[in-house]
Amino acid sequence: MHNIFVSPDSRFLPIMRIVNDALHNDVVFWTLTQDFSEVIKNVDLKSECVASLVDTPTRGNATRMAATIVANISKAAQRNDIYNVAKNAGASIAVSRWLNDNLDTFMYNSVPNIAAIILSLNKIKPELIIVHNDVDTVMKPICQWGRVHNIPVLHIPHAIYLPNAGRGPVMSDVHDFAVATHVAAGGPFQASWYKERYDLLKLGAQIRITGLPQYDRLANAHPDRERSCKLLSLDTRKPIVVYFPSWSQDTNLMGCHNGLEEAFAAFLETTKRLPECQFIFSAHPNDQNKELIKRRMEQAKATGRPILFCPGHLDVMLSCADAVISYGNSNVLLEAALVRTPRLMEIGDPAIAADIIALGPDPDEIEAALKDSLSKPTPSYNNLINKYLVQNGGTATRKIVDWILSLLPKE
Amino acid sequence: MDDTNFSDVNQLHLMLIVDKLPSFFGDAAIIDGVNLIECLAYDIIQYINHAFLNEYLNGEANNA
Repeated sequence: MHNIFVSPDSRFLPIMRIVNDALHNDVVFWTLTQDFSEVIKNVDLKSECVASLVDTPTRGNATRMAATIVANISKAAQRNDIYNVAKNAGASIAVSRWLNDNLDTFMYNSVPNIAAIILSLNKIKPELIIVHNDVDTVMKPICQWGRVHNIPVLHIPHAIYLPNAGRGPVMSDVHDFAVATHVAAGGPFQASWYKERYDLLKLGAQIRITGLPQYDRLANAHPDRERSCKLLSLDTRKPIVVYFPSWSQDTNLMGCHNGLEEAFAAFLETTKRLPECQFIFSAHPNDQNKELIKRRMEQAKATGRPILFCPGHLDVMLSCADAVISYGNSNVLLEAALVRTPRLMEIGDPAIAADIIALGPDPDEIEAALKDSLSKPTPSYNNLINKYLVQNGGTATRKIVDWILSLLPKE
Repeated sequence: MDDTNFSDVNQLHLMLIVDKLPSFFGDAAIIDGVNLIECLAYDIIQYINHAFLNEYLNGEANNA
């Protein structure tokens, strides 16, 4: 029986199904959450949750490891050693104080869980680890464990990190610290992005341009504007503008200048100036904070314009959009280019391709750009697509499956 | 707010986690070859970024 670890990501389900068929149902897909394990079982695959192996002795062992670490920190904190080291390195008082006073509590909450996962991986002994990111606090230890134990770790990125004014120079962002042993890149840009970082980290990794599975569905898409308008109760005769607001990630200080709010305010002002247009607001999938959306809806209501709030239905929105405006360089621009949305705009970043209109958070600019561009022919977007994606006819999933099968041990 | 200095601060915060903090943990922070401090960087940096921003914004408010 093959054992493969997969991180909770629904993009992996088609991959898992094909891999399962190729392995004649002789594979168990291990994952982190009970919920995702149930999802895998619901598509008739065998799945187990890593947590099922965290028995009392494992939990006790993990807690003892955490206690040792926390004790080391607490001793240093009592002497103010952490404060002094951070302060002498140039950190602010608040940061130095946080590290000295709170790190032990933070670690006591986090470390036992990570330690328990690592101890469980030793029991599973997966032949392959597949992840959607190799940076967050749970994925990273799993990836590190795989690398240390010579188990291939295949990173199938959930997104392409596009050039972004907020990201800062190379190796200034926590996302730069890649650790997977294999990367399935979405296109030439992403392959170069990872190569540069692995070279600086002096880590070996195989990077292969396969395309990303989330774009397969759009490779041969035939958007039906009329149908999409009907689904969203929009008028087919009037232009439709969709605004994508991005989200506040907090892992990088750059961009902490209230940009999300400024751009949203500019978008709302623009809606008042263009009564002939219909507007949609799409909440970011990682920022489905109900309070925030409620606040955004109240701000939108104050404009007196009907603005449709759409937390999902991305493909429907893209099918009917005449213009897409994103806050910063978002992956939604790539998806919109694949379905040939007539006009692509972004607020706050330098344009990533000539066919994208870069704007400031300025209603005058946005209004002028929309008025000027909506009647113009749709660009080909070929430069954009060829740089960031691959035109592979929607075969990324198949290419990744072939790679996965080649990474598994031979019988 | 000016982003220019934030790049330096962000690099400093990462350097603290990756280079300075490990000395406080010793070998205990390496479990089965996995460096826990590096793994927790994603969460720790968010906490200290918030601490920094609160201090920065309070300073701006006091100077206003």
